[in-house]
Amino acid sequence: MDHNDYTARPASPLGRAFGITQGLQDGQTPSANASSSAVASASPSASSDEDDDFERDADTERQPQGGAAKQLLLRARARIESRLRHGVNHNGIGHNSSANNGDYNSALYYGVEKPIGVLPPEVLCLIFSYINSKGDLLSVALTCKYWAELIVELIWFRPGISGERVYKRLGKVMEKPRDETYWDYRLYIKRLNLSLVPSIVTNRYLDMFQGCQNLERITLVNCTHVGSGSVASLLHGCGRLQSIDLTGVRDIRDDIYEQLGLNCKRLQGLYAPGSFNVTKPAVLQVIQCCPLLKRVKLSDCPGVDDEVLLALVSNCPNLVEIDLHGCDKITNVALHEMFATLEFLKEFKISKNENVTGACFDSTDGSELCLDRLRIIDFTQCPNIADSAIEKFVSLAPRLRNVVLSKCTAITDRSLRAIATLGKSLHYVHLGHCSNITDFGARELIKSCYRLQYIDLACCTQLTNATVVELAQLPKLKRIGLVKCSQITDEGILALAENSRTHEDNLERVHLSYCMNLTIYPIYRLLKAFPKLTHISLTGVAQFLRHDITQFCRDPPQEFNPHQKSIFCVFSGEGVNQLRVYLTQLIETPQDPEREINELLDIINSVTDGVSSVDDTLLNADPLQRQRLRVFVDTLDRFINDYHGMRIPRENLELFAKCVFTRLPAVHVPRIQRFFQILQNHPLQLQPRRQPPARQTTQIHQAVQTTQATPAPQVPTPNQMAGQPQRQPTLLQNQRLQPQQLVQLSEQARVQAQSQAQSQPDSQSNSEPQSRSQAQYETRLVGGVHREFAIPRTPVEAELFRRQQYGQQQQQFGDEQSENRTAEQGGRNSSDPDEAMEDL
Amino acid sequence: MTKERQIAIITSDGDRFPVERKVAEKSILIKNMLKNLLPVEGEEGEDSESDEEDDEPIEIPTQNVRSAVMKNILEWCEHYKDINFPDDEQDDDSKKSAPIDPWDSNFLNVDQEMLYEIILAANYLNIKPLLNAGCKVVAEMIRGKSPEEIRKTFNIVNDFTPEEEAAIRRENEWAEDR
Repeated sequence: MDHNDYTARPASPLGRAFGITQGLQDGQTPSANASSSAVASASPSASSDEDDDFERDADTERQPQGGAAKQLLLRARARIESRLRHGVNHNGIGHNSSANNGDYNSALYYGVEKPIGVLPPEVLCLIFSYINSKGDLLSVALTCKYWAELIVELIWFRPGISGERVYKRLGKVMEKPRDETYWDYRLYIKRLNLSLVPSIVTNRYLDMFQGCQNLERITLVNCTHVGSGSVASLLHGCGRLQSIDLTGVRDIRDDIYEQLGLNCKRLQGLYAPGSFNVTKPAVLQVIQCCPLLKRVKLSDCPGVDDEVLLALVSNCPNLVEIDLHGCDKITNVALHEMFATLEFLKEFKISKNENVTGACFDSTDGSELCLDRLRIIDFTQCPNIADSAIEKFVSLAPRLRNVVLSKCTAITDRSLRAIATLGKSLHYVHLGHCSNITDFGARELIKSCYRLQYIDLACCTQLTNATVVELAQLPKLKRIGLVKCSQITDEGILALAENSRTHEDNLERVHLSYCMNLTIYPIYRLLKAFPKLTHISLTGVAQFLRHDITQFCRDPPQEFNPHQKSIFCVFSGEGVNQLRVYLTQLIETPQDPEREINELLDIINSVTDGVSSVDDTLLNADPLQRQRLRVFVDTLDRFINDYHGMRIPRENLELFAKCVFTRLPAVHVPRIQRFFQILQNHPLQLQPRRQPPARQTTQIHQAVQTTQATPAPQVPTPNQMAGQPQRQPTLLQNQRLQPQQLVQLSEQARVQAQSQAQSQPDSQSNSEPQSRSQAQYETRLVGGVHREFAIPRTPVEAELFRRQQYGQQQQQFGDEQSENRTAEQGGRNSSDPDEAMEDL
Repeated sequence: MTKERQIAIITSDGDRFPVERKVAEKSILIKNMLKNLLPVEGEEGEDSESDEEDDEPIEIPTQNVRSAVMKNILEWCEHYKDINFPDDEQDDDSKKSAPIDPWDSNFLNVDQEMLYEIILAANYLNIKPLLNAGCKVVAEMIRGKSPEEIRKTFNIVNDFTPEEEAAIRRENEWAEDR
């Protein structure tokens, strides 16, 4: 029961001898003994703070930290004493008679008996600082008065306003007059962060926090409804304010700046990027009054010019971060002064400024700048930043981590080569809309900056798959932006997916909107390869704009027009998982016939949409092409009309085929790829053919027989009864055939079938193409497609098989394309294929 | 070449504990003190005047720590003598959320009285890792308990009137875990 244990324990002789005081016992000078007590770090402000990026800078914390636990404790003790002296607690909620006898040394007052009574309050504070749950803090506050006084500041120093519920309940307490509450809680609040409930914060709510004189941080990110007046009133008397973040606040006026200047002399962080209406004198006032400023965001403030920046540079030597986005009055003069003077500058951002050029790095007296500390530079949309400027600053600032040069339209591969010299330092690079850059520059950059985590190359339209193949080698890549890089195709994305093992599966965000040529399969592979992928954008990519896929996509932003909404295709969070599951189902299980036919018809319709006739003179001029076209139409006819039981007129199919053969615009390429994918990816297709109508069977029979009669292919003699089992070995054999051979094979079959048909005078004219088609179809199926029957499908094998098949399919399709082209090129004189492409 | 000066810690009840220097230096208090008493070892050779004293062991009195507690403290220091604890004030967040080391947890599995004495001694001797571990153990004893359970655990008398208790509850229960 000896309170001296913790109130007046004498410093040990030893401690005194070496100038070391122990803990608090004579600790009226917390700062003096801060370094000697192990408890020094038990301050509430030292506990975790995850909710505010703004506060990442640990040195904002340094200054008050040393003695905070002790100050907290001293204040608590003072409160206890005052309460006891006055005999009643000042709020009039009744009092404890046993405690009001004025003897505040009585251990009974503390209500804490041994053994824990031996612990001095600073140790108790340290213990309480390890309590992570607010519920537990409240329980501690309810155990006894002594503990309650120690812990109340821990509950209030940073009210975690995480949602509407807390917001309202806290509001109920705050709206009471301060003499009706047990404590005056305003004095305990040090960090006010309303950015987790931004849309519901009102001026009235904010006004309840007036009088929180110990505020150190105010965070109002995106609180769009709060007005300048309320924010300004909040600042009255806040002499300890270290930072204020008004990002996203719309109404920022001079009165906020005036109050900051009047009250907040210790301000270190000012984020007010929406200061459109703030005047130059107001900004200057803050700069004059707040010499400790370290981080300043004054984006789009019209008052900011060279004079302001020069004042900032000369008054605030500690500046670490300056953000002047949209400050178009700044010139090289002030920038040079800034780079030359601020030795701690780590981040500098400016944008939409036409004055800034490489000259801001040149000095008049011939001395070189030293920008060793610079980590982040952003020159977004500064059109006069050219290659020479980049080369200059990269050589001056060799440890840059983030380089943002989006819309610096002047830069070329030369800049990329310069940036490449940053090597492993570079983690983040944004080169969107730098449309001069090519695969060569990108390659150098990517090769030497192997620790890149974030890269954006949006609208760098010259980039091709070669760059994506390089990107695939980056082991730490988390985010890739390739929006509108329309030359990027499946091949590139597959390369990315293939390389996933070397990535440790880090990739989280991929932006591929308007990469028109992408199809589903590579995206499926990408999703499978990167389990951490949480965001993928595919807006405007035709292949994905089908309802079954877009059902997993995020809602488009309200402000989009109907067209924008119709092509919006962005997946994030759970949507990505759903898409992954769905595509897996789609690709790894046999097609559902109904969905399949719908998809086929969709493709046919979209390709032939608006096309009434096709100029087929070229086609007709080449007998080989003509034959191929017929074969193709026959195949379609059989597959769609016979197999799927549709009644699509042959003319429509012919039109579609002609489109495919003669004038396929680029936008349709992915669709046709998908079309062939469906045709080929169809294991169940043989099923209905086992017992075909007699007539057809005969024709197949005939066709295959004739095939067999030719010298080249080894098709076994078909036996109608045992046909299926006997076909098996052939399947395996044909698996090894090259596509060219397949074409040969099919061609032979076709020719044979044709001659057969011709040699049979009784065969009806309209059955002739059909029999050819069957021969062709059969051969194709046997050769290229239905190997699946012969292959056991363990998951791994199935995957390998799929890869192989996919590759082959690509190849086949490629062949067809090139055939298509050569035919065109060889057969006609008028149009070249590119023109044909542009036709539609 | 240098012979280690012997170091002994004298407890409040007069017991003498000879210790290795690096064990004793787990206490920043003692470390700083030794720094003053024993100048940098390299200089010793030149400083011939102090030679005669060199053989005498240095005795460090610790008036606030009794033998039973010191025994425990030294066991802890011995266990960690080869581990360098970083001097990081700033890495507070990770330190706070880190779980108690199992060895520490076992080491601190003692009765409350001894636990608090160890914490007090760690604070006095400035042994931060031990102090932190001890405080975490106590915080762990609080976790998930009702006020009444906490009072029982720590033998605390409730000095609130029902009205006060209700007011504090009413005014503070908005605080929720995220």
